[in-house]
Amino acid sequence: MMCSNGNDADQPSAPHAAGKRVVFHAAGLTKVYQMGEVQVQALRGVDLDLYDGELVVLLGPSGSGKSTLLNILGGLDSATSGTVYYLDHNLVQTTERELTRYRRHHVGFVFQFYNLIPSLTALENVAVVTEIAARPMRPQDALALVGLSERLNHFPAQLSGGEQQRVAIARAIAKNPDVLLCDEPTGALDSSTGVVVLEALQQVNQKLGTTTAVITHNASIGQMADRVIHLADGRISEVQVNASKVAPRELSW
Amino acid sequence: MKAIDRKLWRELWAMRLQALAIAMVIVSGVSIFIMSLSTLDSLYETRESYYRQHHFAEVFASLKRAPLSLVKRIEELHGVGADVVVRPAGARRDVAGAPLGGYASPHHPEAVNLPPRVPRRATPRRPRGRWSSPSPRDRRR
Repeated sequence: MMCSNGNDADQPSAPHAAGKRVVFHAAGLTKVYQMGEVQVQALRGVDLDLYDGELVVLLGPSGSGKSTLLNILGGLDSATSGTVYYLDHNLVQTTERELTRYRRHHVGFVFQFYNLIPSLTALENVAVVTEIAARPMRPQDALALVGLSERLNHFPAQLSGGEQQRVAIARAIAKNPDVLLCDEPTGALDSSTGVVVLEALQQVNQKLGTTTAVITHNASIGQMADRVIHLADGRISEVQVNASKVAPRELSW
Repeated sequence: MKAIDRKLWRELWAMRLQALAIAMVIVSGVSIFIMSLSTLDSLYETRESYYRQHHFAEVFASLKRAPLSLVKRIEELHGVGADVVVRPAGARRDVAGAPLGGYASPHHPEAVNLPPRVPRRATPRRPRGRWSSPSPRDRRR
């Protein structure tokens, strides 16, 4: 889908030491937002590897750089300096057109607010994506994966918040993305609804093997991940590897 | 039908009243525009018709002396032809403030010398009064 820029010097070695392929490799990543005369440093040199099929939780307070990092990994934003590789494609030295193709073919996004189209049913909201995707799954299958087989023909206004978020997840996974990036997917939901959404994300991760990164403020959600990456003040402060993962149903907050 | 097309039609249906109102405004605007053009066209046509009926020339050229035989040559020019109006040189006399022919107010009479061979269509309009002629036979009302 994307063209390699031919710069092999900074490319990650794959597979990595644990035997898994590196999907994302970021090194020395910085991001500075210029707000008039004020400079806001969102990222201050982030080094990060994400591996194929793993579920990672990015944890940190507001303003720690979680969303900025996720946006750069997803091709929604560009880094000020440093390198980011998706497989062997450099996301920093690429054109806007290539970034668009990268997002379209490789990345699924889930945001805190569901961004569903109100005039389309759940099935049609997913079909909007599958009609333009290169190798999509059936919209019905995507919705079945998140437990919404009985709600195919309901409009967003007829669905609860949790159901709407699950439609958003189904829409993100329906194109069979290689990576799923979720920015506070449970942020607007109560805990019981949030658990249902997290179960949907876990289903996708386990059944499809989609590399999944989830941003959250909620530390307990980290227990369901393979790794928890803590961010603070634009830097990775700690990486925690979970020896055993907890099922979303057992989480509470 | 694609999902994105369904979105278009559903949202259009949901705002059908607004769409209808917008369409009516557009139709009204276009109608007024067409009516304005028609009125303008009609006014031009009326003016042209009036000028044609009263032999009002579109081009005026003044010269001191030219033979009447020139009229025939000018009329032979493409697009000029039959509409050539020759107004021979006349003697204009302003007699401001002088009573004339029973009129109480001041007048600016103009005397025009019309040679007998000038076609009738080439003569100036005579709202009222009579033509002066040396022969009573030629007097017309």
